[in-house]
Amino acid sequence: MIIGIDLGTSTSEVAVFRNGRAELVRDVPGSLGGILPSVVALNAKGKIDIGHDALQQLAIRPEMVVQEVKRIMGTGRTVRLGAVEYTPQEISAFILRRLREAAERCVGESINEAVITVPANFNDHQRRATQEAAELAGLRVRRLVNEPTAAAIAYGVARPQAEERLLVYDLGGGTLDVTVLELSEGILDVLASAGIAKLGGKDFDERLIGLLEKVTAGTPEYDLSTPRAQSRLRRAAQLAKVALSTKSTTDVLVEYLGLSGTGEPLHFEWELTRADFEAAIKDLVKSSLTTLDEALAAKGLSSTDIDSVLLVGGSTRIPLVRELVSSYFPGVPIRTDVSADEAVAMGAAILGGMESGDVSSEHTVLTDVSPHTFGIAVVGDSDGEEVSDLFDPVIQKNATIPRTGITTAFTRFDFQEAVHIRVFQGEASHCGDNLLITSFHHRMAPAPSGAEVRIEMSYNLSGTIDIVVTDVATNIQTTHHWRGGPGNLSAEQKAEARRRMAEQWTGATDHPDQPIPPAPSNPAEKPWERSDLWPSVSALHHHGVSRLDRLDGPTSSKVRGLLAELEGAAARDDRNALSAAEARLTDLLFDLD
Amino acid sequence: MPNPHAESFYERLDLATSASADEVRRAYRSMLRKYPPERHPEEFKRIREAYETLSNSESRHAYDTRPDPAVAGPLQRGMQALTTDDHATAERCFKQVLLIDPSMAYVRNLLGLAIAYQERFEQALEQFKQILTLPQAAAAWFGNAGHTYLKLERFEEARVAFETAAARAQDNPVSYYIGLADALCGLKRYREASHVLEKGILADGTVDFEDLDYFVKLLHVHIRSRRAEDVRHTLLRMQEIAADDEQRRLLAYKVGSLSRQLLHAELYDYAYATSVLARDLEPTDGDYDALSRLASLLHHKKSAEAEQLVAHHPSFGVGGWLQPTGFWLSGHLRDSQMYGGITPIKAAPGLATINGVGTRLYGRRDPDPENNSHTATLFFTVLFVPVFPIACYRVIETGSGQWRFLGKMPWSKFEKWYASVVTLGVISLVMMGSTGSSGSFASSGRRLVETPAPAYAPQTASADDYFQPGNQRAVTSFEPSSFEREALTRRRNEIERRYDELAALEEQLNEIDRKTDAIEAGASYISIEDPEYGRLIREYNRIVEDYNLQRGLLTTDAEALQRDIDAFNARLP
Repeated sequence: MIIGIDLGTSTSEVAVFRNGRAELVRDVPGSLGGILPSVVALNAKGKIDIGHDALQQLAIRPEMVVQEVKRIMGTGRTVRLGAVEYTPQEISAFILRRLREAAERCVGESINEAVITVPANFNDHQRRATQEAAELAGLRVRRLVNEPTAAAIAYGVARPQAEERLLVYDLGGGTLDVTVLELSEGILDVLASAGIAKLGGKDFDERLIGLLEKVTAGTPEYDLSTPRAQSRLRRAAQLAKVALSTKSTTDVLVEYLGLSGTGEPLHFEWELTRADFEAAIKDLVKSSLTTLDEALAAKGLSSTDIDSVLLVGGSTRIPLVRELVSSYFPGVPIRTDVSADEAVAMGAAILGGMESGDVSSEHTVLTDVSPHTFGIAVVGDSDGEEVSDLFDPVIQKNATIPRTGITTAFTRFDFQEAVHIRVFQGEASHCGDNLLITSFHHRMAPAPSGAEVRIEMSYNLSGTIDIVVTDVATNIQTTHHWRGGPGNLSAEQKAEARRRMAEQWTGATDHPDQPIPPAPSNPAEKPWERSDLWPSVSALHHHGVSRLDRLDGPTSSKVRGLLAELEGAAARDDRNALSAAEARLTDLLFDLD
Repeated sequence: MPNPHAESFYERLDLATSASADEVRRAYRSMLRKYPPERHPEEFKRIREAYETLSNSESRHAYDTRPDPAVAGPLQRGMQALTTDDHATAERCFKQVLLIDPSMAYVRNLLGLAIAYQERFEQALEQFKQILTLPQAAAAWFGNAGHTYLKLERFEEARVAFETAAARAQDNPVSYYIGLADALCGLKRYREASHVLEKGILADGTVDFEDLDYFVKLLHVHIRSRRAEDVRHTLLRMQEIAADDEQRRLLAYKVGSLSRQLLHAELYDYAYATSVLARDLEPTDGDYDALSRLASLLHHKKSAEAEQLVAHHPSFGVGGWLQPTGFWLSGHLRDSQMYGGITPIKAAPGLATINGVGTRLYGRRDPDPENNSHTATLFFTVLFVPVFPIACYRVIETGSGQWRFLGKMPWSKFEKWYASVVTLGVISLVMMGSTGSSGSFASSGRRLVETPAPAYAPQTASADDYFQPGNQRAVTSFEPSSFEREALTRRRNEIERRYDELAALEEQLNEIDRKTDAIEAGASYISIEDPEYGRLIREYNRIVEDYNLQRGLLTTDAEALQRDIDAFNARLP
């Protein structure tokens, strides 16, 4: 089974696809009804707490709590839990592992593949960090999908007869994403995506905290200098924000915010109106409207071309957000009927079902678009002047994927020995302003300058890129596969993370540090199945897989490890390794009976 | 399927080519269900490509009207060859395209161009004619046909073609108006030609630098029609159109170049008028001043001063803008010394002496080694003693006492003096002779013509003939074909010598190129500040400028020569 996970800035959810429908996993420890706050804490026993359990620590030991780690994914920055530094991947891995285990309990089988949602404008580093977090949590990422797209899937599947052009406005805790798509009897054709990397509920919290700080500044006895006081204030602000979505006024109460002259404890209490809050955030919400312009303009559309608007993400509960979005689309129905918190995970689970074949393409088909422009660096000619590092886009942002783009270049020098292909991601016309994702050389046959080189770039649904470079004169080819960035974690960091995961984990007892089976390159036929050696072990393999969910944790891990060894050996055509793994697996399974 | 790339976009979606937009969408969706991207990525890409193209009316139209893929290769190669001036290859490629799809009119236009560039104008016309009758025939096609007619001197047809081109032009009709003016000049309808150009100048409502090409052509027309007043007026108007220094420089250069052509065509008064404008536009440029002084001197027939000017003024020196004019002048003065003042004669003079009394050629002045001619004086002789000169002739001695007469020459200073001194004495001698042997003297009146009979009536040169640079002498001779042939040979030799000079310049450039390449190869970063490198680059720039100029002039002169040779051959029986 491939599960669907919404790894959000403020909350995370997991959903599974079974019995022909997606369902949210409700029973997640630390969550309220399956909505798990993306908060991780190290408790007094040196173990990890997640979700509401972690939030409880916030008031007393804020230095042992991490929130909003998604905002620094892929940045190279780390966070502290007490004295120990953690990478954001590790923190996210704790959350993902909690969700995986909850899903395993829910469906009663072990799970090692997931579709995880990311903001549409996550760059390669951020996507790669998300994959690393999943690996640490014992999950292979089958596909990263844009959050608004996932929400649209959930919406579309619930309306199999719908025929409309839909805009998804997804304002979550940390990011804004806008996606435009065409919905037609279960076919979801994504037209364009746009977004702001740092705009969300957390920014509204900051504005509210600023407001409260201004109010408390009038009373010098209030002491906001300690992290504890800061975190209580933040919590109060968050509660007030939520309350103002349904009420026009709310009382902000922060207890023990200082001592009076007589030594009595002082409590902060203040009535906050919705109008005050809205005035504080209005410019932020308004800035999101330019993203609407951008998404529509990408396919030459205007607001009147939209049939429905779907609001997703916790921050779309704020009345002001709904008001501004609905005034942008006069007369267009604003739909909030998918649950803002749940739709994304549900959509991801449906996509997981599509990947595994559980969802028939007769029923639902999704097309997606490239989140960025991909291209190569070329030397250009500007009025006879050579300009280096010009960006030659090959796959455009918002182009439907999977896609193959082709560009042509020419050698600069006589008898040039090789061409240096550098692949960039980004929207700037100069490569220096874009992100270099990979580079390699292609050897050329000796020829005068101006020899033609064809560069074919294929962007796959898994987010990987295949590049084929052809020397047109000789048809000599170089093939380069880019499987995502090199990753942000070193081998030592990964080992340390696995060690800590084992030490600090309090949930189920299995060990996700077992190697994950290598990714299949073609869902229809796995690489080891192509091996001539495979038929000799396929029956054993099949048997091992069928036994997995009836085994206890440690044994299951062992079997899984040996199955992976078997697959790896066959894929490598390594006869010795194959027979060794075959022998051990046979023995192990035999001993269980 | 065996080769999925060969199928058309319609086939990929299982559609008829007449499918409606709605059918396209439905077909895409049903194919999508069959080949969802997760499970059939390659199929999906092909379906999507077809859908993206066919779902947009613009790209669908482009796809529907796309050229046969088989022609794409040769078409591209042909265009490439055209840009590199490889006209033979271009011709071959365009022919291949038209073999596959003869209906591609714009390719036929390109084929016509490729053929015309190879100077096979009649064949080029055959191609143009095929497409000019099409309703979509573009202005440029008519323009190309017009220029081809001009080359063939079929001016009436050129005129019609350019008129059609100008009428159909979408944006800039300048080249068509100018072509039309050329055609009208060819028809000697100068007034209409200048009307057309005036219309072009005023077309955009303003008279400005953009009209430069019209003005230059207008000068040509007025000069060809010998309308000195209009030339002066046009020059005055041109003075006004340059709005800044850059435009002034360019205008001066254009007018200066024209002036130099006029000078070489011995139209000194026009050369003077135009060079004065160039000089006034660029007073600091010594070249234009030198040119105007030279034109003035030659106009007033002060050849000695002209020679002095050329010998000492730097503009005529090595690498100077007027160096070619210096070469021209030395050749011109030598010619005018040898042949200057030559007048055609209808028949050879009688050359016979009886008993030592009669006429005889004496002297060997201004020999021209190229055709072995010299100037000799016909004397009346008594007892083989030259008594008084009768006339001077340019002759070629053909051996055994026979001469070919090229023409009659004016007296040299000495002969003028000699003639006036001896005339009196001769008269008395004749009287003496007539008393003594008048009968025998009378018999000397029988002409012993030893030169070929005149075959060619003298012509007066027309203004148009003069105007062509290089066609400097329109002098005809008693025996025209041989004289002209000699003159043409001399011009050819001169042009070959200039080609040799050009090759020497080219070699200098290559030498500098090799040096700079060596420096570039040895350094990762080179600055123009580097003294040796900078010197080489500047040297190169200086020489290349001269080289380009010389080459341009030489090409013009060589073309003019070729035209004259062709005209000469055409006149031969």
